[in-house]
Amino acid sequence: MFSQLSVANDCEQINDNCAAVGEWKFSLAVGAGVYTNPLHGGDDIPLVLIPQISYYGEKIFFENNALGYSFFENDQLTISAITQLNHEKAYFTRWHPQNILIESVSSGDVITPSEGDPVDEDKYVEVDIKDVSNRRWAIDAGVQFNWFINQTTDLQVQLLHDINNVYNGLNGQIELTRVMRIEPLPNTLMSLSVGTNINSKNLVDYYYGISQTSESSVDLDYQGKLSINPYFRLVLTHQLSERWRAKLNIKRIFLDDAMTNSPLVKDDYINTIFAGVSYDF
Amino acid sequence: MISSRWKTVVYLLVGGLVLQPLSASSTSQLIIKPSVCMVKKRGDSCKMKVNVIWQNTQPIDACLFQNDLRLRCWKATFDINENLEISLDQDMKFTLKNREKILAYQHIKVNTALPKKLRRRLRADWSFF
Repeated sequence: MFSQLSVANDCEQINDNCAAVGEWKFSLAVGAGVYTNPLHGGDDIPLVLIPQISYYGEKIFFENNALGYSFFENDQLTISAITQLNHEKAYFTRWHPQNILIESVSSGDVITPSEGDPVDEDKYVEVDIKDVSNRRWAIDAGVQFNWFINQTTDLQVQLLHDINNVYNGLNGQIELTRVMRIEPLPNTLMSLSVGTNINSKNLVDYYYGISQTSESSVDLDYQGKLSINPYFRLVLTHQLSERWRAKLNIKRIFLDDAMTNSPLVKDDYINTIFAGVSYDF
Repeated sequence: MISSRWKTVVYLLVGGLVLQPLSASSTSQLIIKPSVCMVKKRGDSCKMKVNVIWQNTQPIDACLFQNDLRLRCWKATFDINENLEISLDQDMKFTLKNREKILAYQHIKVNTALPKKLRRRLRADWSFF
């Protein structure tokens, strides 16, 4: 059913795996989708219009939110210094922390009352907004390894540290991606990735920890721990014409207990689903 | 027996069919030289002087179009042999038309002088989600 692509590691034609050196690539996808927000009181992020931009020079590269410089490159391995925006803050930008009440009698139960709901004020303690609403955007920098195992499979490893003194910690990613043609469907590619995000204690603590509220006698402390969040991603691309493509993107991140134990976190997953068409300019 | 009047009609029809191709205008292929324009890199605009050649057995009004852009017209001409300056940044079709009737056409290609250098992408497709 599936077949390997006849594209060499050193690239023979422009496609999803290969870019022309010195050229900007811009595409715009339109469709319907959602990026779920795991926070209590956090709104899911709708996906309707998705611009994508990339540039590959001889050494430098830019892909959406990441800028890199490849200082070692051979047929199988590329090592790059990269910097990119840490997306953890994104969940807190669509978040209404004033709605979060934490049950004081049993550890960590959280409700997000909607307007008009009766709330037993003795039973719930409101988290001090000052303690949880000051999360900042972090910019990470570090190193990325790309190991092109064969024509269709590659392994990517990242190790990053924030450079603007936000969480003062590390995060890493390991991802294995395999790209295949689907024989029964002409002009269709399937990209399947499995991987894991690893966030250091400091990162989890900064974004998902809660410090003791000074006026409350209830123990609302939550201190973050190192978290390992595995995920899978499936991208189906069907070439409709030279510039138009139909896209289906499905990703699910399984959140570690180190995150889900935080009173701020409601879900133990983050889903990304998008279906639409994209146009290459 | 076929009457002489019917014979006349048949002769006229046959004669008309035989003579019809001779009376219609006979057009030749449109030749534009050179048919390839070289640029340094993709997206660069290409300007060049081309020689346009076309012939017809009957005088005819004709206009040369670059895609939908009218470049030049000739009135009651038998043949065209003219140099024109053209500008294009991608492959284009040049068409010779008599009003809306297409008489002949030719494609002009834009080629890059250097083959593109390619690099393996370092992020999986749609990995930013």
